[in-house]
Amino acid sequence: MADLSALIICLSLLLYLLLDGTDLGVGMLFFWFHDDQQRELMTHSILPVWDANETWLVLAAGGLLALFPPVYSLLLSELSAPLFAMLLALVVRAMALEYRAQSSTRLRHWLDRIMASSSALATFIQGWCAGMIISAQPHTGLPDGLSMVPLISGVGLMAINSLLACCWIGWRIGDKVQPLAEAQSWLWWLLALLVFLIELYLNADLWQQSWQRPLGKVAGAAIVILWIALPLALWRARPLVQLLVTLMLIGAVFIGLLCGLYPWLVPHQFTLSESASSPFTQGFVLVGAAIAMPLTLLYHSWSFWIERRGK
Amino acid sequence: MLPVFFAFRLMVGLGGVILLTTLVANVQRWRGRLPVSARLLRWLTWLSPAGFVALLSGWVVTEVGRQPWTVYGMVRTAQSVSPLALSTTLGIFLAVLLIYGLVFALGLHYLLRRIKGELPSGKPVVIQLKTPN
Repeated sequence: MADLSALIICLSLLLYLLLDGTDLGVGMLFFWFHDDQQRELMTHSILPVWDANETWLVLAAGGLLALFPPVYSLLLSELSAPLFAMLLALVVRAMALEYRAQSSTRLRHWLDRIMASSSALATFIQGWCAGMIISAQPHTGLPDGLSMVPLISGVGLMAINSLLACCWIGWRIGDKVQPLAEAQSWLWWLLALLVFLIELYLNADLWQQSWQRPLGKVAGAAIVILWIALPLALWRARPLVQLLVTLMLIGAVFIGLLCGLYPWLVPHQFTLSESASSPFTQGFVLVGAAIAMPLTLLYHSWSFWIERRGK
Repeated sequence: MLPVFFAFRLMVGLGGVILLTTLVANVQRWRGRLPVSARLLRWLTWLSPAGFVALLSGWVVTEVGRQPWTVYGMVRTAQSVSPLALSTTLGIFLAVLLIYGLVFALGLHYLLRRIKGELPSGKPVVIQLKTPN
């Protein structure tokens, strides 16, 4: 039962990474796309979906509180400052995004700067927190914030989100952003791959553990194939294929990581079964999730569909 | 407790005033006189912040009124507080105040400007993205 509970949380988290990763990336691309018309189109490509994407973060955090209270309490007190910084960055980002259309040209430039830097900050902190969690040690707990794994995880997430966003705007907007998005895709692909290899080296134990499991083997093979497929898709310049391959790659890395962590929720601190709430609570929450998650998924798919048909 | 005493009365009182205003405004609407009732409209302008104030005092009622409990009768606040350093808590609190202040001020600025400006023409803004394949 605890496994099922963990699955629910991981699923929300993965959906969050995939969906909001894309629009955080679009925010970060404001650093490189200066043309006002480009930015306008980029904003409009994410405006209808960004807040729905963030519901998955709420679901993951709420689920963690209900299903694994000790982990929630550990993470939110140890990582309180960075997590709050991330949430506030998301708030500021929302402000920059929503007020953009209302403001004068001068203020808009400021809002765009805020948009780019808060997106970058939020993404970095998310990667950094993930790095903190996977490198927790038996006795000392969470590592020093300035150690290698968290820092480089943050950079890695920034790279992969930027890549996602390049594919997204290439698909959604097309010609007006295509040349720069395409050129940047290569850069982000290379940077993300580099970070991934360093992470592989630094967390060799975890990935070895992952390889021991059948699902981990599948994920591992998928990761290799997708890393190779990605430049092929880039070369053929097919934004939608690139987007899908990148999304699958993130999914595969996520699953591979989970296989390496299992049965730990936070390595050497909490296992799944130790930290789960009582079966009654879990049952209650799981029934709720069984109702809410399909509905949310349906609603999101529907809104994506509407947006896809164009306005 | 004094704050709870006043906050509760403020909340309920403002709620009553808002409800009464709604009734009066609806009567005027039925009579078809809503756009020309100058006194009512001026009163409505003054009443704009009432919702906020009522909401905030309601918040004070629940949060202050519940002390010393976090979950009434089950968990005390003293038991449920996180082991955070005072500086961290203060830092987070100040950051939240600052950011909310900023967002709120900017939002209010745009809201007021929108109210002051001309009535919208009714034409929707159309942004054409590429037709997706």
